[in-house]
Amino acid sequence: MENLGIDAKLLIAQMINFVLFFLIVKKFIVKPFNRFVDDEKTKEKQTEAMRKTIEKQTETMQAHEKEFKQKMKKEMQTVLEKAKGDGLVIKEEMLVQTKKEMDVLKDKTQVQLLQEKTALEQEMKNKLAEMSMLIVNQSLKSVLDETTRKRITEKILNSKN
Amino acid sequence: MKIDPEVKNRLKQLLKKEVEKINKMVVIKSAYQLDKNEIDMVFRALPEFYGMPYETIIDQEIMAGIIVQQGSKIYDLSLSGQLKSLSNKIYEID
Repeated sequence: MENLGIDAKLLIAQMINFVLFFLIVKKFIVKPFNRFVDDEKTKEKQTEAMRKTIEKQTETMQAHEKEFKQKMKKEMQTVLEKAKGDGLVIKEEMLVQTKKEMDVLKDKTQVQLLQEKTALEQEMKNKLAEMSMLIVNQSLKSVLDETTRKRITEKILNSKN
Repeated sequence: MKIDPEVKNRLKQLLKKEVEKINKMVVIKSAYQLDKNEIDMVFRALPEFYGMPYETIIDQEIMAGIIVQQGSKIYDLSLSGQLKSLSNKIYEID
């Protein structure tokens, strides 16, 4: 071996050196590095899974939101339609009520007018009668002399007999 | 003030007599002074007052005819009364 230029001792020492180097590298560098890589992979997987979960949740939320919006829209439409219907009913009721009140007022006014007319007619009649009586009284007072009074008195007493 | 009961009683009797006298008195109201003949006619027309004391009162407002009153009884046989009655009838017509 020496003729080949190979130093057996050196070879052995180098081999030992290599083995030691291999062992040390394996123990203190490769293993931690592998562990680090594994950890990173695991973290990446977790992140990916989390991202997927978040995406899924976001999609679900968006779907919920869409559904909620549709529901809201539907409810709003229903409420609006109901309000519109109620408004129409109230309008109708108000119209009916107003018509009733107007009729009552009309009747009342007619009755009042009639009463006023009757009262006025009665008053006119009374005034006329009063005036007629006054004229008759005054005329009789100025026309009647004692002879006529006597004749009238006699006629009244004779009619009583 | 306390009144003697005897005096009070006498006063009451006196008042009663006066009231009776007034109630028995026949009052004949006319527009002019009635003569005897007309008064006879009045009593013939209203025999229930015949023989009762009477007094005559002149009231121009009654115009003609007579009003006879005795107590609360009144017989209106006057022209003004008839006119009033006519006036009431006119008021009653609708």
